[in-house]
Amino acid sequence: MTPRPPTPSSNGSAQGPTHAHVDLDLCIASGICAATAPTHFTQAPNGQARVRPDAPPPTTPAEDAAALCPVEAITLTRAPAPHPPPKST
Amino acid sequence: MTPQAPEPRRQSPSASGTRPQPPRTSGTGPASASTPRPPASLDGTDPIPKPRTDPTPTQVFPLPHRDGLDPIPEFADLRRDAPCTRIRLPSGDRAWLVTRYADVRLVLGDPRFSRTRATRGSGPRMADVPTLADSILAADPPVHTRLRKLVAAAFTARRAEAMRRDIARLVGDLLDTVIAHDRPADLVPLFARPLPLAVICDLLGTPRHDGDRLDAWCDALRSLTAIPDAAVTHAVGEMTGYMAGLIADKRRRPADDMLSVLIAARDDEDRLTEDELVSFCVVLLAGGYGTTSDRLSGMIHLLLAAPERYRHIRDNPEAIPTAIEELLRYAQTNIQANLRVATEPLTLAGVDIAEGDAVMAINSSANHDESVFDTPEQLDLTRNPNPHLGFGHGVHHCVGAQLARVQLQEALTALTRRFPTLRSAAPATWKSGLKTRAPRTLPVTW
Repeated sequence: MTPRPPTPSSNGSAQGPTHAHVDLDLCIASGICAATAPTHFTQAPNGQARVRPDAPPPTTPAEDAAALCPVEAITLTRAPAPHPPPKST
Repeated sequence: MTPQAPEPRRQSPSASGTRPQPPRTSGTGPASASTPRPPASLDGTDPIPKPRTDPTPTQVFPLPHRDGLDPIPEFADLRRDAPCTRIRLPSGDRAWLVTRYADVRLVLGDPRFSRTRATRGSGPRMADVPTLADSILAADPPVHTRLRKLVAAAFTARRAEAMRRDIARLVGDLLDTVIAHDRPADLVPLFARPLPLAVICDLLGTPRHDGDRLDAWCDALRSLTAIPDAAVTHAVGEMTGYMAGLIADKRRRPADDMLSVLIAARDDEDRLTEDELVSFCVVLLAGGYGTTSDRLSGMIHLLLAAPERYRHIRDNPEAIPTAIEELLRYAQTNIQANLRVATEPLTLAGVDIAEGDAVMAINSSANHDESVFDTPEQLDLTRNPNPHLGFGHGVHHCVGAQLARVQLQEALTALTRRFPTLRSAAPATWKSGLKTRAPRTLPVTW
């Protein structure tokens, strides 16, 4: 069993990832992420995952969704941001 | 495969006249916890049950046995006339049977439908037999998430691709045996069973040689009416005991396999209980072996049932992945589904569902929804896009889906290459009284 590359642990703090991304070329519309982290992910009409426009910085459920994605379509990154990321609540 | 938008093409009348607009899982959908949910029902979220008249259950469930995997007329009638209808379960409890694509997808993906409440406590039950209450199939998040994360990395598409070469070699070895066999030959014991048995046993790190016992247990676990409740109970006990024994052996001799990883997660990190460990392994073995075997034999049956289908994939091997998605969609394998229990009142297909009600959402029926699939009753091996729900949806989406796809692709590619004139030698015989439909025998010649 090959472990997945570690995702930086985060609770939305300054050290953690700030953005979630979905690779739509990989997404198979399993519905796992939207059910696991509904504040971060939703589904397009075709079932494929979308990051919610109003999603807060990734927290544990988003990390879980990335870990559970069967095609590893979700990445959580610290995107270079010219402005401070929105404060998580 | 990248499913594209299922375009609603028909707004059929329904019994209630209030068909929800598919899809229901978009941005404002009820799966969201961060956006306002649509009104659940007239009495909102008040969990106090109000007096209501329980409709008389229809007699549609369980369906009468039919050989084969072709369209089920009862489901077509329900999708048209009663997409959320009251049924009586083998336990005597009542449930709502849900048959349209958008509603099925919603039930499977929405956290307001709980698997735990359908397996623990005093809620409605499918049957009067013990369930694997500690299994991942019976868990809701966050317990489900905790368990699934233990194996998710081993079941990714990337890992399945890395196993493709070994799987192709296994397929080749098995087909060597078939070629050497007298004609006619039965592809179920010669091919459809031993392939997934070897794959899942090698992955778990369990012996390959217990296939016959596992067959009997897997079918018992799937019994709806085939065997008495006591026999199901006995089989669950036996299979659980078998797995507990393998776990004990592996504890003494850990190896580079999934069972050892799960045991370490139990013993070293306390990330799951002993009962969760045993149940998890039973589910992985039953799903990895029994389900995959049934699917493979069912696909070969469908391909041979109309020889032009077999010729199509033989002559277009590059089209096999697309063809497999269509076979997954078309085959009416599941004639029931794992129950969910509504955790709050809500409306489904225009029907008020009370908190505590059981719901059975049938993916086979969703896969033949006329509003999503053109001519769904036709097996079109070139169908694309094909957003079928054959592997389920939501958190319980089949963890082995990617591995199953690789096995099915390699199996059908090699079968058609090495047996270009394969044909049915006699009608298949069928399992009956189970929750799923599958061939018991598949006599072929070439």
